[in-house]
Amino acid sequence: MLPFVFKRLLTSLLVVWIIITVTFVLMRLCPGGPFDRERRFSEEIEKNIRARYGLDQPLWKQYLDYLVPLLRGDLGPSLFYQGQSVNSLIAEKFPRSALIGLISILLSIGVGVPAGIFCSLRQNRLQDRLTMLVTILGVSVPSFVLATLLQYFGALRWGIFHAAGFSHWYDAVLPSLALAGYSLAFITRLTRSSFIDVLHDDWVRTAYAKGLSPLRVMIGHVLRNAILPVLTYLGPLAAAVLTGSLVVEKIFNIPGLGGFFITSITNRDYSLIMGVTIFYSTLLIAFNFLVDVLYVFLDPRISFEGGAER
Amino acid sequence: MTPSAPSPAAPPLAVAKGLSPGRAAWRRFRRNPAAMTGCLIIALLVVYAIVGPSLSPHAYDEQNYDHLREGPSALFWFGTDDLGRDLFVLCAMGARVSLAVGLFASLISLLVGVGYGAVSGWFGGRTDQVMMRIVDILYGIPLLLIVINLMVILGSGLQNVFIALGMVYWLNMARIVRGQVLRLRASDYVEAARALGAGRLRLIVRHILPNTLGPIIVTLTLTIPQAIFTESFLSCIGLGGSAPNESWGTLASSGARLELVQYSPHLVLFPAAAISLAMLAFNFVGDGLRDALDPRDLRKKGP
Repeated sequence: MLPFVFKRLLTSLLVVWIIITVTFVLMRLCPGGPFDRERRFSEEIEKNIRARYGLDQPLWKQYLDYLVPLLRGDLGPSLFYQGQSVNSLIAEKFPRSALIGLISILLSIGVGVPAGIFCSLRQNRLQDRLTMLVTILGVSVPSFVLATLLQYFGALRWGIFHAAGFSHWYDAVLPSLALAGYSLAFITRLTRSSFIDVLHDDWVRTAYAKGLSPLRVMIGHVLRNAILPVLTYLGPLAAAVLTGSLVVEKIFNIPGLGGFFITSITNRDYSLIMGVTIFYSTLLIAFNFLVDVLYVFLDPRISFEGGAER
Repeated sequence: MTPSAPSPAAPPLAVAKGLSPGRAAWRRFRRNPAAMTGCLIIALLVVYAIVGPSLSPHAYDEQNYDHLREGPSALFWFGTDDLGRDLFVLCAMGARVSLAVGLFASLISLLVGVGYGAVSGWFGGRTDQVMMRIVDILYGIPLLLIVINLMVILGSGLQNVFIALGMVYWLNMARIVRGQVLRLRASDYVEAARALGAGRLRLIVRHILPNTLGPIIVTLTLTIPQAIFTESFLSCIGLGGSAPNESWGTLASSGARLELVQYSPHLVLFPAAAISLAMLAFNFVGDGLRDALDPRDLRKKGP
């Protein structure tokens, strides 16, 4: 067990390092820069700016200069917002995104899993068919369309919520719903098919034949097996919520990290793009690491040699 | 497709009864109503993409200043956008772009993925381990972030969307092909072919790859809607196809603004419906193909 966790941790760290290196190389390959203006600076100023941000150094030196502070978690200064560090910008914006993301993850699991179980027990009856119809719409509508529809009905038509902005906790409701839409539908479908699979297994019949109550069979036997595929989806779920936030925050005009990331792309603020990419990636990789460890705990069939197979 | 027609040179003594695997798969596929509906929708969308622009009297770049942002009418079937362009034609042009994105992104993923997976699975051992470890590592990287970073460097533009998406989606293909090749390489019939003196290339091309065709086709079909969906997402953050190569995603995201939805909902509804239809159709067909080509897995339906 412990060797597995350790090995998995090492791989995760390796992946983080690769991402840092790759984004660094990618950003240095970019044509144009944040200091490009309509009117060119005079040569001296240009030179000073480049020296100030270390852009006149050889590439390997720049890389080391970036990597060494990063070991302490320092992502360097923003190129566009003068005098602000990437860290302080992330620290300022991320909490709002985290709140919305967390709500939508909880919503996806908390509603999706029970709904999926319910459907699997009512397989092919009306409730099941209806739910499947709604979820199939859910997985095929782009999040920005869903967001706009929610905005229109929730705010403009029925006037329950604010259409945009983030000044009150209930302003998180609509964005969270928009963000959760796809994963909620997906988890419902995944849970349903996984439970249907397991419910048809021989040993479930055996459990019933032993005279166990349906509840006992469900919790003690089915749940533990059928929930595993859902658990595997947690990593992609976090990724979906995170990337979805880019669009949803833009539409609801929420001053979070997602919308800010888009702005930094438009601004060509390379150090910010890099910083946020690395921050997001590390977050997701850490999350995946936790999920994998949890998976091994719950599924005794997994060998510790090969690691968790997807 | 798997060879569905019996070869004309088949000996007349061949058993008359029983179906070739390809035939059997086609039969299973035909009996799947969802998959057939999907095929029909895809066919309609393709026809729409090809002939749509010539069906309407308006050109896609024609601006009608008397009809700005009008709802659907006899004159403009899907209405007009805020530049007075006919949305019916714009959506047809969008179909070309979006379908092309799906097709080319998945073709790139096919080329890279099959090559990589076949090499990894065929050589096995240390080569396989290293190559698959690389795939595992890439798998751990949030794909959309990579796509966004690639797009920042390449600049927005259609061919860059193809490249960025194709470079990301080959991972799945590589894993699946590798698994198949690894399994088939050790199978008895390949052993027999080798004993008969078949060379390495002949073994791979003639004996192994045709048998991995099923999973490859399924993966390919399921990659198309993913690429279309991701492209619509990219266009929403301004990195997708832009005028004159507006995709469904570009159209939908430019219509998906609160001030527009209130009075001109058609601007988002038509392109968004097109995206959803394509998503559903390709996923139905993909699932249908999986059920048809791999009957052992019939009971397990993907979400």
